[in-house]
Amino acid sequence: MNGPVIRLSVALVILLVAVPLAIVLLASVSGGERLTFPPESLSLNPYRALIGNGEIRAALGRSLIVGFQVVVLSLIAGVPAAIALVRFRFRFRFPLGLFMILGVATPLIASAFAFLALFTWMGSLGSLWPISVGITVVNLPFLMFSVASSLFSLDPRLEEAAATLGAEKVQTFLFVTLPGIMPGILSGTLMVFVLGISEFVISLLLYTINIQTLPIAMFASLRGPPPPEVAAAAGLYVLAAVLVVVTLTSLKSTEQFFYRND
Amino acid sequence: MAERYSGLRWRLIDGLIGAGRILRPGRLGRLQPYVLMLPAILLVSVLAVGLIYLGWLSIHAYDSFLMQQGGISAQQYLLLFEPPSGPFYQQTLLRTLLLSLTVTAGAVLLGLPLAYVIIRTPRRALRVTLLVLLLVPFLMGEIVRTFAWYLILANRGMAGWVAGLFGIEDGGLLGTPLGVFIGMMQVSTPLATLLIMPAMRRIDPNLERAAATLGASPARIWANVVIPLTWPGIVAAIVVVLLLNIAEYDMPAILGLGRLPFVANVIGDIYRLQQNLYLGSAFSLLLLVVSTLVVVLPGLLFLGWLRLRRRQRRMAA
Repeated sequence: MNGPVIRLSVALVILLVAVPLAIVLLASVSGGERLTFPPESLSLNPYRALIGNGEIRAALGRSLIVGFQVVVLSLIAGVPAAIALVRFRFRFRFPLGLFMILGVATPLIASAFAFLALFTWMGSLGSLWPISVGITVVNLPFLMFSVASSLFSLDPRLEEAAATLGAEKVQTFLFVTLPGIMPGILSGTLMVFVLGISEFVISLLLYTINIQTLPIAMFASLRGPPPPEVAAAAGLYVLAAVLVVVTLTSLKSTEQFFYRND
Repeated sequence: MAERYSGLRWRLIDGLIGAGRILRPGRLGRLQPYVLMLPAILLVSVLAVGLIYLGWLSIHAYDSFLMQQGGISAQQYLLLFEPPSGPFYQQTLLRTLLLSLTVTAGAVLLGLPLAYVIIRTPRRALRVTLLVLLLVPFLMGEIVRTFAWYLILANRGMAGWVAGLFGIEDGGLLGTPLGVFIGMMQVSTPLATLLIMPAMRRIDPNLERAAATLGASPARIWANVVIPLTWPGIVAAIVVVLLLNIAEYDMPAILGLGRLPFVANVIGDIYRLQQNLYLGSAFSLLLLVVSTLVVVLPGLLFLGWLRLRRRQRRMAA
């Protein structure tokens, strides 16, 4: 357990993961006109520049709209589908379950190109919803796994007991199933939201010049020396990711998901 | 319980129950699971239809000057395979596969000990900290990860500064395969770790203790106990990490300074610069086929190996 090889690899991974987080947060509070290491001084200037830059602000707004649309679509599609796959035995259960992970099994760039070709043919490029649909299809399994894992740990006999006591299907769902799988729905929702606001490849193929999302705007500005407002935007993403992960861990569902304490 | 559901909430719940009485979901009988899955099926069908449409586009000729679709032909695939343009596309594909495989190997090698520590550590604080650290790169987004590594690896970046402290002058790692490799490892290693963990969790710690009591060295315990029992997790990690890396865009574009384009970069350029959906479709499908082969092959080999081992055991018994 405490061998030198293991210790060295753990230290390496911590460096690999934590240094980028630290550098983004540090750059987002740097004082200089240009981003340098170490920063000349510390200030909130990058965040002020972000608020002052209308284009970046609009891109941030668009990314939040995409995130919201992705959450709504994922919930409508993902929650009932997860319930069907876990609680029902039906003929095409296995092939349909496989079909659901099509978006994860296809290389992202191929999926993005498929959306591009299809939405070009439909003439619907130029609005945000095609981007949201694409992102939802690709990230749907994350919400479904999360909901399914809470369903697995919810005793089906509770639902049967409610039915025996005279509850109608809707009542059973609202008062027994839904509260039971709420942690799973919540963690899945948080995950697809963050993945939605930070998604890049699908947006890259489907954006038109007046609907740039924040990752696209950031990518465009990385062609030259990065301006401070990009560091602030990156800082916001890191803060959002840390916030979501800490929430997930305190919901206990992450540990339940990856590491059951049994 | 009643206090939690006040006024409006109760009215909403009453409405839902009333709607349930009218719609009577139970009446659907065997169709019920299919109705529940309908929205998801429709949504994923968008991708399925899109992929089929790619196939249709890729077998058509295209006049990039007139921007007109021609008849059915193998033109796009000939562009990918035959000179003068073929070698460039094949080289790109080869580079993508080689770097992705290297990153996958590195991620699994680092992920194994990390997963082991998370599972075996008695300290909950350490476990939770490591889990949080592993999940953050996955959720912060490709572009932010790339930006971070750009700040570290650039000419006047942090790595150069640290190297300068030791008196080493270097021009930064941007534009080198090593830079792209390091950047891709940041998300691949946590992902590999998270996928290895479930399989490793099922290993009874007593097995390792027994091996140690019988005099096995730590290296021997890893080779003969831990790794064989973790195989399903390792295969899952290889498959998912490889699939993720094969489609990488940002790291080669920014950290590679465009000198080491991956398939995704070339596909992006085919669309953004040439507006050629037809060639892009063919290259996307080629990548899909190659990645499926690369991913399915180890899976099939693994299944074959399992079957062979089972047969050998049966014969031994």
